[in-house]
Amino acid sequence: MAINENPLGKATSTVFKGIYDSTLGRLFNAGLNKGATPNDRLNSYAIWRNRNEQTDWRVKLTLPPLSAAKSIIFGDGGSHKVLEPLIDDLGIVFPLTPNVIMQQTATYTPMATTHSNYPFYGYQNSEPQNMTLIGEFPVQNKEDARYWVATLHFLRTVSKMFFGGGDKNLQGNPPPILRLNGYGKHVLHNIPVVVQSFSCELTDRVDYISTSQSIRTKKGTNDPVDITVGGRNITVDLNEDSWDESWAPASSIFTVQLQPTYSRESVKNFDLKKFASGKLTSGDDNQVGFI
Amino acid sequence: MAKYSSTSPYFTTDQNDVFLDILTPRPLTAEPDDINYEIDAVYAYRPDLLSYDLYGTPRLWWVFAQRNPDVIEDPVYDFSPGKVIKLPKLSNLQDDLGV
Repeated sequence: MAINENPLGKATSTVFKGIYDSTLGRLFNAGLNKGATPNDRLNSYAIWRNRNEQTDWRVKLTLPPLSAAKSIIFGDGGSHKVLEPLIDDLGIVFPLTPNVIMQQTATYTPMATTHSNYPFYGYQNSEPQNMTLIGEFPVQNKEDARYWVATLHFLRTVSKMFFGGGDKNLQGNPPPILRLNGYGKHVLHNIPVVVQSFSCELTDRVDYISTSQSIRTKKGTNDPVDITVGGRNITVDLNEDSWDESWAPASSIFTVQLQPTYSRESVKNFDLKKFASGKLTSGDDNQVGFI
Repeated sequence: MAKYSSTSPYFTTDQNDVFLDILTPRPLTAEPDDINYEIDAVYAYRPDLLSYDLYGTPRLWWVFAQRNPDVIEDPVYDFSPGKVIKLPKLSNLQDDLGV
């Protein structure tokens, strides 16, 4: 008797066929659906949406919104034209995702007791170490070049103390404490930092793009003129005094060393339980974020 | 002569009592969301098996070559592992071929 004529064999075959469908097994292993229909779950969609304060996770190095240094650095009402491109954000927004290197340490002091095989470690302190931001700044047009010049000037400015004229209440103060934001609320949110150093290389291997930090006006009027770059051989009648020309490299890298720094007043608010719950890393804009 | 079924590549090819004419290709709809599939070892040189698994019949073995003329010239021996092909959807085959 053939196997398929054996009632038991036929029943067994039917049962196993029901349990394991070889067609479905092959398709599953190949990641395919019957009918070659696309698998919607594997599709990814790109969605453009507007950024706002809640969703903007770009890396920013800015003055705090309520900083007293705002009027000194950006001028009253943003009158300092050289920093005008940064006035909306009160600082730098890195145009491309920078490399951010951060480090946190807990220091333990070894206590070497006599005649022992293992030292005991006494906890000393914890601290966030300095951070390094390495950001690439591509410059493709005069607006980018304006932003590059403003960035350079901003970093120079915020690494200097308050000295000389201006608000007498601020004279003698150290450089302003900035806020570092990026990657959302629980990564870098309102971290108080000071700029320890920055560097930028002006290489000879790239083109340089001309720009002006001030609005160019027609001579004798306040009518703005399109400040298309290209040097000084423009035949339009212009007031040359308003043309403060600067040149920015088409590609450069800013490397900024930042040191997180917390005031005694803000450290008083630290609570490990709150920190662990995430409340201290995602406060509102007027609160510093702990890391 | 034999009458070719709607699943055959020769369905629309002319024939008379003596011979079958030169193949008339049966074009298939190409859609941007057709699945990209890298031929697996289990389907190596077996377009009939893939056709059976996907469409329920081995008779549509030739549609992969028809849909991917830049990748597959020989419908069987070019159906080798590692090649990436587009898989026509059953709904399109039904519309285009009337199967």
